[in-house]
Amino acid sequence: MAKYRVLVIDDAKYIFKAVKMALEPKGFEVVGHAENGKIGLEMYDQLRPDVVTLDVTMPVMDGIETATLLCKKEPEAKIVMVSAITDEGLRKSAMDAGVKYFAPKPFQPDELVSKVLECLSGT
Amino acid sequence: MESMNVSEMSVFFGNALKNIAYEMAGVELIDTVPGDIAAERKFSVIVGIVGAHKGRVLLCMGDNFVQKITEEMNCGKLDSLTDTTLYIGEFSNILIGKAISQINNACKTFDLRLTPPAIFSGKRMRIITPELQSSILSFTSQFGPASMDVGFERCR
Repeated sequence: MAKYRVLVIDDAKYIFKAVKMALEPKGFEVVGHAENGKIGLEMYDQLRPDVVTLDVTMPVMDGIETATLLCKKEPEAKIVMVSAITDEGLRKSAMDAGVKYFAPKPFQPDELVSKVLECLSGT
Repeated sequence: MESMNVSEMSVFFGNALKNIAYEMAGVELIDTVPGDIAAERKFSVIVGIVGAHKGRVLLCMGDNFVQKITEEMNCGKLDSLTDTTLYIGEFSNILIGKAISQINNACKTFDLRLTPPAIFSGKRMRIITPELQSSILSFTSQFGPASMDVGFERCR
């Protein structure tokens, strides 16, 4: 079975490592790490990942703007927003941008795996 | 009109620090009276808050506390001081994000958001932040102290 390929867009090195530790033992391949949304969009074009984990608060380009641009260009892009900010206003902004799946920070490994699988299957 | 004063807001930040320190590193923090952090090396993280109210949260932590939190986050020792500062910045970002989410859910018109953190570490550091209404919270733990200064430009 082909591995699902994951791009992490998050300014925190810790989150990149935590996502790798959660997903790789379950058969995912974490193919890249972008420190902000602008770099993330470029890496998406190059790497064509199956799913993106996306932070909200980042320098240069935040997660909402990144999701808006990515979903406009790639309507089928699969995004899990991984953020400590979980209020209703942010969720609405993210959903308006095209995000349907959310995981909190900090996350338990199984919690992230199940969110990513939900996102991939579109359930 | 929804409103909340700085003291009321600071409760959310203090609880978030205690909860996240325990959840991510098993560190229990206990409220104590404000005082200087006596540690050879200190770490300070400043996170800006924007939205209906503008402010900032300043977290100050001693070296032992930071080492414990970051080593638990990393599942082992970190290679450099740079990595330690980046990890403690993300720890701060997470707990402050939790607090503002709860404030936003309580007062929907606030729509508070964070700026990326600025992190400082050094010896004999002193940070002074004038012209803000601020509330200072202090904590102690078996790994040393932590304090939090929550300030906003204008509040009820």
